Amino acid sequence: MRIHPEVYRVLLPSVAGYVLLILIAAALFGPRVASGWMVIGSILMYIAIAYVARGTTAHAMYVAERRIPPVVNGAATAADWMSAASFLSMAGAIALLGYDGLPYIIGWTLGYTIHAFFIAPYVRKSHTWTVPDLVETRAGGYGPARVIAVIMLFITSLTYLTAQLVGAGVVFSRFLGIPAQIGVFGALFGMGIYAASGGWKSITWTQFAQYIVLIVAYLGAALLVASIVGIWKPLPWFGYGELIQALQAREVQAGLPAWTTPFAKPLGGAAGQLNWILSAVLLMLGTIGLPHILMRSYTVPSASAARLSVGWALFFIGLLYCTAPMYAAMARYAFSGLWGKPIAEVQSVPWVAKFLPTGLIKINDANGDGILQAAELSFHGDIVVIGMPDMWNLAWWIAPFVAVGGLAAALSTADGLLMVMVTGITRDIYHRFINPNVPEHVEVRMTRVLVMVLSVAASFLAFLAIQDPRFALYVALLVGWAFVFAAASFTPAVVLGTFWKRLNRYGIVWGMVAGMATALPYVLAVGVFQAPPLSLFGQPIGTIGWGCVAFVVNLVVSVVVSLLTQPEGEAVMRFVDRMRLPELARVPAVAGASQEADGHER
Amino acid sequence: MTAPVEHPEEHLPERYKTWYWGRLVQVTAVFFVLWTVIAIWWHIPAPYAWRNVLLFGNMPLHWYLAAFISIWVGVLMIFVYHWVMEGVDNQFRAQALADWEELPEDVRMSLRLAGVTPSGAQR
Repeated sequence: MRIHPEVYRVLLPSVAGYVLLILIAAALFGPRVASGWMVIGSILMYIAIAYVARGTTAHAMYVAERRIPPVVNGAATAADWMSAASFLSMAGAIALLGYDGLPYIIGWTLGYTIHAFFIAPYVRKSHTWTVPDLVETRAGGYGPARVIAVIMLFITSLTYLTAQLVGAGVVFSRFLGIPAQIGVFGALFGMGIYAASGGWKSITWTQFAQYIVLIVAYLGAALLVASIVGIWKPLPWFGYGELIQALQAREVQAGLPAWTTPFAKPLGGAAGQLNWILSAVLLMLGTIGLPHILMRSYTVPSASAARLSVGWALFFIGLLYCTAPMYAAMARYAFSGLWGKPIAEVQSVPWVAKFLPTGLIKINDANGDGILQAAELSFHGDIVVIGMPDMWNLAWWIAPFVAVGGLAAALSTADGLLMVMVTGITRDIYHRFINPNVPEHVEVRMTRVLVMVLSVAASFLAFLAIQDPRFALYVALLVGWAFVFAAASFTPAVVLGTFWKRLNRYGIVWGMVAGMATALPYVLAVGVFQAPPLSLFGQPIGTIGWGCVAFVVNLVVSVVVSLLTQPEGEAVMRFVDRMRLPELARVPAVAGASQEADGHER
Repeated sequence: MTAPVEHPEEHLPERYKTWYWGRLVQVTAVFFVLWTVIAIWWHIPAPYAWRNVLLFGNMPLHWYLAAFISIWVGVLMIFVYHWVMEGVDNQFRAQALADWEELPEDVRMSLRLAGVTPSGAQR
C-alpha cells in the first residue's frame, strides 16, 4: 500500500517531536510538568500539522482539494464524529443505564452502514460543495431551499459545537488547574488557529492525527485495566462476560435489578422496547443527516472512494464503540466492590477520595448505619473513562493521556462543526446571494476571519454553559436533539432527492419545514416542560424516538407536495443522473474547468 | 454543433441509465433488508428469548448483539457492498464502451478527450 506523502511530511515529525518533548519533560521536571505538557503539547502538535498541511485556495478550504485517501478520510470522519460525548460520556451512560443505554451504541454506528448505501457516493457524485448547495441544486436552483438548509445546519451545529467546547474546557481545568471558564478559551485558541489556517484540508489531516491520539488513549487504558481484571480470554472484548456475571451477582444480592435487564430505565423520557428500537433507529437516521458528517463525502476523489471511506470510518468508530460497554462493565464492577464496606473506609480509598470533592462521586448515608449500601453511592457518567486509570491504579501518565484523548475528541468534532457553519455563511449565503463575483482570495480570507469570529462566539456560549448549570443542561439536551432535527430535515431530503426523481423544490422545502414542525414542539414539551410522553401502540415514546415520527412526516409531506405540484425540469433530471451514475471517465478542461476542480465554474 | 461534455455519463442513451439504476436499486435493496436485521429485527426477540443464552461461556447474547456483533456485521456489510457495487460500476463502463459506435457523438468526443478508447484504456 502506498503511504500518502503528507504522512511523512507532516504527521510523523509532529508526533515524534511531541513524544520526545514529553519524555524530556518527564525526565527533567517530573510527572506534573509532563502532564501539563501532554495537554498543551497536543494542541501545539495539531497546530503544527494544520500549518504544514494548510491550503490557500477555496478548493482546499471547502473540499480539501477532493484528494483525501479513503483510509485517511475514514479516520478523519471517525474523529469528526466521535465527540467529547462519545469519548467521555457514552461509556458512563451505559454504566448507568445498562441494556437501556445500548441504543447509543448501535444508533451511533449502524447509521454509517446506510450512509454508505444511500448517501455518501451520491453526495460525492453531485459535484456540489456544501450540503445546502446540494439541496438547492436538487431543488432546481430554488434559493429558499438553500436558506432553509443553512438555518437547519446552524440549529444542529451550534449547540453541538458549544457542548464540545464545554468538554474541552473541563479537560483543561482538570489537568492544568485552571478554571473551566478560562479553559474553554484555551480550546478556542487551538481550534480556531488550525481551522483558520487551511479549512477542510488542514482539518482533515489534523483529525487523522487526533483519531490516532484518541483511539490509542481510549484502548490503551481499557486494555491495561482488562489485564488487571483478568478478562483477556482470549481478548477482553470476548472475555468480559465473566465480569458481567460477577457484577450482576452483586447487584442481585444488593436488591438491585441486574445490569443487563432490558427496559428497566428510561431513555429520552420513556422506557420500553418500542422506545428502545425507535431511539436507536432515530440516532442512525440523524447520524446520516448531520451536515459535518455529510460534508466528509466531498473530500475524497470519487464516489467509490466515498463509499469505501464510510467503511473505514465505521471500522475506526467501531473500535471505540465496542470498547465502551467493556469500560462500563469494569467501572460498574469497581463501584460495586465498595458496597457493604464502612463509609469511612470507602472515603479513604484513594480514587474515591480524589473524585468525591469534584462531585463526580456522591455518598449519602441515608439510613445512618455507617455502612455503604448500593443505593447510597451514586456517580456521574463522566468518571467511567476519566477516572478509570485511578480506579485501577495505573501509571501516572495514563490519566493525562486519557485526558489528551478526550481533548482530541472534543476538538476534532468542534473543527468539523465550525467549518460547516463558516462555509454556510461564506459559500452558501455570501457567495450565493450577496456577492457571487467575490474574488477567491477574498472569500478565503473571509473564511479565515469568520472561523475566528465563530470560535469566539461558540466559546462565549460554552463559557455561559459552564457558569450556569441550567444553561448547561439545555446544551446537553440539545446535543441529543440535534440528531432529531437532522433526521427530521436533511436525511429525507438527501435520500429522496437521489432515489425519487419526482421530488421537487416545494416537496423539499415543505418536507423539511413539516419535519421540524413535528420534532420541535414535542422536544420542547416533553424535554423542557416535562409533559408526559405520547404513546404509540400502547408504549411511551421519548424525545429521541419521536424523531422517527418527524422523519416519516417529512417523507410523507415531501411526496404529497411534490405530487401536487409541477415536476422539476430537464436540468434537475440531468443532475440526478449525475448523482446516480458512475463516472465513465475523468474529462479534463471542458468549458474551462477540470474534473478535479469541479464546482469552480459554478 | 457537438461539443465535449464534463459528465458524459449523463448524456448516455436512456437504456444504459435504466440498466445501471435497476441493478443498483436491486443490490441496495438486498443490503438494506440485511441491514434491518442487524439494526432492528434481531433486537426484538433478543431481550426476551436470548437473554439467557450465554456466548463464550458468560456473555448474554441479547447484550452482545447490540454491544459488539451488530457493529462488526455493519462494517463487513459496507465493504461487501462496496465490492459488489464496484463490479456493477465496471460492468456499466464496459457495456458503454462495448457499444462505442452507438454512443452519441458528444459522449465519444468527451471520452476521447479523457483518453478513453473503444478498448477501454484511459491515459
